Amino acid sequence: MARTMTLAEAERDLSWRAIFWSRFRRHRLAIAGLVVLVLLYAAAIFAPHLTAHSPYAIDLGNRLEPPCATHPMGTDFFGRDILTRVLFGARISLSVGFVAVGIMITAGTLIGAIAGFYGGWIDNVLMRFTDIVISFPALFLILTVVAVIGPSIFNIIATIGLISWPPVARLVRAAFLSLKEQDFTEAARALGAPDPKIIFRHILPNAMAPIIVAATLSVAGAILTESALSYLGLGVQPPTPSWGNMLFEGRDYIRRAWWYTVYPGLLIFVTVMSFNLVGDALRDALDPRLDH
Amino acid sequence: MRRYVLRRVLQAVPILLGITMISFFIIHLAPGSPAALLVDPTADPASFEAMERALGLDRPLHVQYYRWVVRLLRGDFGRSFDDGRPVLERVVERIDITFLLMAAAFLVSFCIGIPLGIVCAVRQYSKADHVASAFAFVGLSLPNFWFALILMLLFTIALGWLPAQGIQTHGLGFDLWDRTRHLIMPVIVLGYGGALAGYFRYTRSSMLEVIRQDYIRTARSKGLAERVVIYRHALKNALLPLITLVGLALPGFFGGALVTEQVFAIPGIGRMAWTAIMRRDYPTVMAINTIAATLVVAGNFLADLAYGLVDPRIKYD
Repeated sequence: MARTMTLAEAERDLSWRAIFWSRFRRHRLAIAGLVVLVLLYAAAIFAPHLTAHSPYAIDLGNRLEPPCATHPMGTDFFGRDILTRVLFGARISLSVGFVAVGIMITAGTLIGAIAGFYGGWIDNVLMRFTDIVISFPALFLILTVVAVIGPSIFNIIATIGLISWPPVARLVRAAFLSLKEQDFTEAARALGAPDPKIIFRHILPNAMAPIIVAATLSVAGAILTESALSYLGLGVQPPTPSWGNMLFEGRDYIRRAWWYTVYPGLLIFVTVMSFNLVGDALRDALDPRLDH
Repeated sequence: MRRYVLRRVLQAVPILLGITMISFFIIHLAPGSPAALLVDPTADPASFEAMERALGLDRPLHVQYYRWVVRLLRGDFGRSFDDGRPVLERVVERIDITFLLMAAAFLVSFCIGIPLGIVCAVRQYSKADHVASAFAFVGLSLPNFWFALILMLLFTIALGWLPAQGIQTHGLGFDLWDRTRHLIMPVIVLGYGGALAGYFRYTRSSMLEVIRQDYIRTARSKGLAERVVIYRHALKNALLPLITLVGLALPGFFGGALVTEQVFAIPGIGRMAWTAIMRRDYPTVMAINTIAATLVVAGNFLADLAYGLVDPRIKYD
């Protein structure tokens, strides 16, 4: 149901945004990170229009060419243009990061919210399960699962998402434990709101700040994990380019062709760094208690 | 205290059972049988079935798991599908190099992260603070396998200073200098990562918080030297909670060791884990997973315990 905002609400809304923005803006590196991410996503979306080459076109006459005017990042073992493959690889790496984090945040939020809201034995069971999942050496488990079910993009995304939710669950649970004791929750309950409504409409919006921060930082982690998997030969399979599997192919030619490994890795590094910078600034801007 | 220890140990049992059960079922639900990798593909089905029986793979899954647990309680991890040797023997052979690597990397991250954190907190917003924060941030964002390749490009290929593969020069026996040279790059790669950034950030923010406390103002107003105030009064209190961070860093080091050993061809359990996963050597995968998870659980427990010992405000019941 649409309704108009009162003046007071509009003012409060504005000032909240203004505070957030003024705090976020102080982190000049985070702004740079944000710009880099926007450019990277644009490059990934418009990849076919940005390059004259195909990421799959094999040109055996031009194998392992050093960077030059036609191939600014050189060519790989099959004579494919590395810049083109890096651009198309961005599609894989960036979407893996996003979707995996979507799964992870959804799972973590649901589990944490239910555990924190209901408490008692439900909390106990869910948190012991969380303890179990968090005690796995994550990369090892992800590798094992992907090796078992096969390294398709879907499997990789699902596995990363379904294994890395425990920190989010703990975070959301902690937020719910304190928020459910507050007056507004009590008021909603007194008005007869059903549990799901209290959880999702009343409590969850108040717990969003730490979730947003965790999500941003987790995209960085998920991209790193995907590229590590690809580097270990269990990620996105060739010939589909991903930053990780380009490194995997390039390491065999490291003595002859430095560009083969340097550029894809540089992209991973810059992307992960940007997400970390933005996440850090978000933490600072969304959580006034951490004012140093 | 004794009750607390007992309770934590008892709590660890279902966690470890859960971990092993989940990994066991995931691994064994894989389509296809590892027996297929061991028998000649042209052999008749009977020899394939005989191999399955020999490996115990013909039993229902829960029976296989039960037998695995019972054997484990006797200290038997089974035999490797790869070379038929006892898994425990294979792991023990290789675990020392991994521990050495992890311990050295831990020392590096600890001995760089904490002092940097202190300096930055004491001189907040100084140039040193910005440089050190950037340094820690880069470490947090560096993909370790790429960092390893860059170091190789620099120190092995361009400069020729350090060897890039293995832990000793071929044909040479154990030699301390040779071993050290082989481990320099792996230790840097493993040490300059998430753990270092974690220690740095933690120390910095914890120090910043402690420095604002009343008792620090009291110490200063007593006329104590700044050095004494920082290192005797503030530092002790700021670093206490860091103990718990030490335990939490373990899983990261395991993942890091897996990648680092793979890149530098170091014959530790990280590399063994990768090979075992690729070759479907179930008993070895299970053993390494169980050992790693046990160390993680034990590490967290010891960290909590140590925290209680150094901080008298925390009481365990």
